[in-house]
Amino acid sequence: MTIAAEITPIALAIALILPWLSGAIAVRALVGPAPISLLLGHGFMLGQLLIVLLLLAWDFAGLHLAFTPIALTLAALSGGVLLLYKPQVIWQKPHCSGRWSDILWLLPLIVFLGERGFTLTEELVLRPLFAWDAWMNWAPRSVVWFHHEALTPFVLPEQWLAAPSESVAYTLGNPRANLYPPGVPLLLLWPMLAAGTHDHTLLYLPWLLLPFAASAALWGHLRQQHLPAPICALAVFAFLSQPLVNTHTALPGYADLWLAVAFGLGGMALAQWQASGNGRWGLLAGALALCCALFKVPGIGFALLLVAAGGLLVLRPPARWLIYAGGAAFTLLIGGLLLGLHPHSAQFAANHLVLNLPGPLPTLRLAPAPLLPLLWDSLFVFANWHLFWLLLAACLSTGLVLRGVESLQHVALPVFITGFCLLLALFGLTHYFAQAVNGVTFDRTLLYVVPLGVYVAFAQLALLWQSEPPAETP
Amino acid sequence: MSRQQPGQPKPLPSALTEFAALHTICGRDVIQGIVVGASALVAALALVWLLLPVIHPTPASLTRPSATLQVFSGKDFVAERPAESRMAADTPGVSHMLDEEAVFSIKASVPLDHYRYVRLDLAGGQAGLRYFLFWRTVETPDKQYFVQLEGAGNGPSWHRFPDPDLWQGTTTDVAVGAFGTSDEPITLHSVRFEHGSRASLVKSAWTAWHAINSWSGSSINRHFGAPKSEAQFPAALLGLWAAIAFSLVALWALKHRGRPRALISAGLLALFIPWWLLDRLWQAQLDRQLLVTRDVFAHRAQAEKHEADADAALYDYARHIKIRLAAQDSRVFLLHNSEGHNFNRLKLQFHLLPANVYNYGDQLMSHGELRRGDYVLTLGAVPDIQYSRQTQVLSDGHHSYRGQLVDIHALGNLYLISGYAGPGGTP
Repeated sequence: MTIAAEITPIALAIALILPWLSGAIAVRALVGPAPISLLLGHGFMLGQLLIVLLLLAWDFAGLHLAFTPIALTLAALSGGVLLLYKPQVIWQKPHCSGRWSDILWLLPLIVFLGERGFTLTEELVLRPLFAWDAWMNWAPRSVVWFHHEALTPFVLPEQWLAAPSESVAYTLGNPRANLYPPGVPLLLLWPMLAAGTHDHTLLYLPWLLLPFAASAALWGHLRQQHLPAPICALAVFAFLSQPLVNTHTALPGYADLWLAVAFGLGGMALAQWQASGNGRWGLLAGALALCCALFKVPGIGFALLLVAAGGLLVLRPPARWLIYAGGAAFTLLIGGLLLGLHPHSAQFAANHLVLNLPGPLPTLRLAPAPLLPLLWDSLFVFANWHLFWLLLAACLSTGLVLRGVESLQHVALPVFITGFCLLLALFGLTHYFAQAVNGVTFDRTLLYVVPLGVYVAFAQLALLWQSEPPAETP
Repeated sequence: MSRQQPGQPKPLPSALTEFAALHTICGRDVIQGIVVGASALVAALALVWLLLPVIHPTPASLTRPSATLQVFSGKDFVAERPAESRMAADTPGVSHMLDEEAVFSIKASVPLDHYRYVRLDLAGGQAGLRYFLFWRTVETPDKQYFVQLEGAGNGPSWHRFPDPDLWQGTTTDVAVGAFGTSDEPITLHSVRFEHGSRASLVKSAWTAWHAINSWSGSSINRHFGAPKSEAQFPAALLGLWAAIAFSLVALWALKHRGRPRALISAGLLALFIPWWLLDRLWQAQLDRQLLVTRDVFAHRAQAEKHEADADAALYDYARHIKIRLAAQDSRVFLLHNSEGHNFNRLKLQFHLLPANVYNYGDQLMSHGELRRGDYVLTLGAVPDIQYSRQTQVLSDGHHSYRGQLVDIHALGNLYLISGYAGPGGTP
């Protein structure tokens, strides 16, 4: 492979590292001293957000999109933040017992990370863009913007046909994709600008770094809850080993994993806010909600969930209000899903109840549908998630039995449950059921709640682990 | 929901050193939990083994006892239609296939409903090849039955045939066929018809779980863990094992309340040993896939990778077209006789970028929508589109445009529009 002849490797390396560092600095400035795992974990996503916002601002100002000036601006901004805050402590030292046994327990994780990391890296580096939506929906906008050095608009086909001859607009072969938010095409545009080409496998390295950065944040947040390192290592394994997570890295270009990680990190940031009382974690959660909305159309819903959960942490309404509202919504959802098991009910409701959503959100035709068998297959029969949902069920039920209502007070749990229920409602109570039947989107849409689900499961264990004084070492 | 510690924001826990003891994983409870978890896993495994016939019951028509196994040595088979065949160690082999096809056949009388499994010992590799079992029966001699042998080709493999409607009668002919391309010689060592048993069930599941399954268009959407036709999905079977083991741990915990660390340790072990085994299967799948990927794309520059890819023809055609466009972002109306999301038309649009492609329908647009300087690209046969070289008019029966035929290619034609010629008519 002749990389040097095809791309500019140093610029590409800068394009990967600079936003990450800038993001870590931004996280440090936002939340104060934190373990390096949290700075790097959240910093990667925040760095991507900075790039997206910078590219949008650059284009809005009418400037040509070019790598060097934007990179210099980002570096200057990050340096400015460092000078402004002059932090005495960049990151907290990790709390490590230093026992050889603890370190020994981590060896399997290191071996796993090496093996899986090499496999995914080689697959990503060798294979040209493969996944369907990647070349149909997401990458084309980056390619056009790269060539035009400007964010040329993408419009619906009928608008494209009616556009005056002096205007330049594009339209994609999938009509709705023209309305997708710009986040993912912009974060792909960035390495294109750096590498000087729109066509190289290395441009998709952010898809490789994303799950590993998310794992760093997962590790950091669980360590903050005093969970032993070997159990945190299991959590990282539980996330990084899931086949659908790996597939979205090996076959890069989709937006699902970006939304999943942004939503997951947002939930973790909220939990950190709740646990520490440091409201600045709420700002980080807000930034991650913005990521959700910029990555995918359904991300708007998930962003609203994060914002709503943040609002609850601020307003602290009486618990019974939440229980009544949540209970009523949950009962309606379960009732609808059970109703959907009877074919006639779906026919009764189909095409009679239409929900018009604003903006780029789709119009939903409400109709209860037999989703539950498909859900069972996805969660417990197919190999999408290994045994994640079984683990989650086990952790939640154990927490409920041993710690009762206390186990439900963790803010990440209602965020996860509402996110999951949102997906069930979408696929089980609307015409999107067809997407569950044909197997195109349902399983990978469940991916949105998986990173947060892994955190929720292990956060329950942390609650239990802390509830017992340490036993004497024999 | 409420803050646990409202009031002044405090730095992230900085006094955790006092909890250092909490961080250690080695404690009496933890060790006890590991022992309990391991015991639960062993007990659950035994239970799953006992339950296997219940989990995957044999259809009534396939439960007839049989006195003997039916074993056919490879040397008794005849290699049909090879370009080159050879005998090695008394086994037939096909070194080079004819028309990407190699078939080994034998005259054999096998009462199929006495057997549930076929054990195949065949070498030839999995990448690029698909294997099938063919048979004819006494009862329906004019009909040839076949079924794909997922996971065959790498030594012994076991195959389960759950469809009693297909798997009945007494055979007159049995054949094993390999289809596709392979650099390795294909050698058949033996074919054995076996009764249903727990061991056979597990072996057939193991074979299916290791069947090569290269990336497909749906790989990004979901992962089954086994061919979709297989009843034994690994996550379901290993999940059952884990669920039983965890239930046993929970029962133990009920008797030993107040020992959450022991419970956590036992529960995690009960869940993560099966999880780890599932992940080894997944890693094996990734490794097999990587061999295929390396074979196609390793040591190639980006353009060479495209040339080696499955859509190389579209990539080449796009490059061919791009150099014929007046500008790299020229407007191109891509017409194709298809509905919905069609791979060829959409992938060609991607390879044509940054050309400004309108990629809908198979007819010309109205006056004003299609303009002078636009291109029309007909991909494949588009019956409605007619072009007259003499009059240089392009028409679809509703609209006619003056245009020049810029390029003719096996995949399509490219026209440059110079003006509207009027509604309707033929060129």
